[in-house]
Amino acid sequence: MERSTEINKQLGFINPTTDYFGKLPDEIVLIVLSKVHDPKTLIRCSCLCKRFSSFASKTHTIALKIHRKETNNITEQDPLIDLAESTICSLDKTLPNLQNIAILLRMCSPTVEIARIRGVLDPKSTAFFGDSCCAIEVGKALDTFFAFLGEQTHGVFTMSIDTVDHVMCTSSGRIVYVINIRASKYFQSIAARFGWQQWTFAGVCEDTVVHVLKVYLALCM
Amino acid sequence: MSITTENNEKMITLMSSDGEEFVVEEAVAAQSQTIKHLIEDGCSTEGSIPLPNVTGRVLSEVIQYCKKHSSSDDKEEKELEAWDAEFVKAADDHVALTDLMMAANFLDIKGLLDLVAQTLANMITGKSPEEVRRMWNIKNDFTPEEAEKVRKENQWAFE
Repeated sequence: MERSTEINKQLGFINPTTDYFGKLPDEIVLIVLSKVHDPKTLIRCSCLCKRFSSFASKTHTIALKIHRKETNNITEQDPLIDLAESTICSLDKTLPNLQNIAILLRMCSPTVEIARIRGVLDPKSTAFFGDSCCAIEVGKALDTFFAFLGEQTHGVFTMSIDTVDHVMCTSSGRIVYVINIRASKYFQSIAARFGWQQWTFAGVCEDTVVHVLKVYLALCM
Repeated sequence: MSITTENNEKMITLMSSDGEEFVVEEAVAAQSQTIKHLIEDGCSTEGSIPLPNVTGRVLSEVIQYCKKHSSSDDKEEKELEAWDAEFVKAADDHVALTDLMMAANFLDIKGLLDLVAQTLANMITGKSPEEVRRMWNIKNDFTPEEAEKVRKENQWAFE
């Protein structure tokens, strides 16, 4: 008995008769699913059984971890974020009540990331703007995300960024959270450029390095 | 019942569902919002705080987590992350993780809940439905027709 338990343990399951997820209440399983950052795994989970299938309509927010292409020669035709428009469409179809898609870009040193984003969005420019340019990059990235999602967002689009490696966007709703103190003082010009009607500080996080900017978007950007 | 230690830290007693008692500093126990509220409501003044949903085995792990996280400050973030990783690794069988998750939810300890949820999520990531079902003993209750339909609708996720 003990031995078979040991073998089961090695195989990755403890007791072949207990449904471990079965005893977890829905709210907890949803917390787990919200932390699955791979869109395919997430969709495959809805194929597990009827219970998991029912979670699809209860999912409002997902966070995807998107891999960047490993290349030094990024152009506008070759976006740095490897997220196909069809993926967004499929997610939208499978998860009918999806409101927020957080996109977690892979961790990298901030300097490299800024340079890379810049490289993608403005391939001709070789200048490096450093931290102070985060907001500009955010604004441009917003533009890029628009291009990704196409017309279906009707110009109502939200995104947020905390450190440079964490971009969050949603395809519905009108509130934008931008979390980046270094970006904040440049926000007025960005807001003007993109026609954002109003922007306010919403709060200060832990170490006061990070502020939360709440930005209301114009309906059509 | 409240005992006071040399450095004047107030101690409280937690009792698990199987009757095991744990004496911990109030600051440690208060990592749990549930316990914190119970203390604020004066539930700790007489006897121990009963936690009917948590077994002694799980509670001892939860306390271990709370102790570590109440004694560390933000500067030690890196070290704490490493400690967390070791902590879930030690609890790395499905039973312990799901039990820990239930306890973290009941005791309302956000950090622990996030940590365990992420660990469980990582275990699923990249696996096929068959693998996940086998790993968690999830019964496939779709009829073959339904299964085919669901799979067709989500074909892109299987490519």
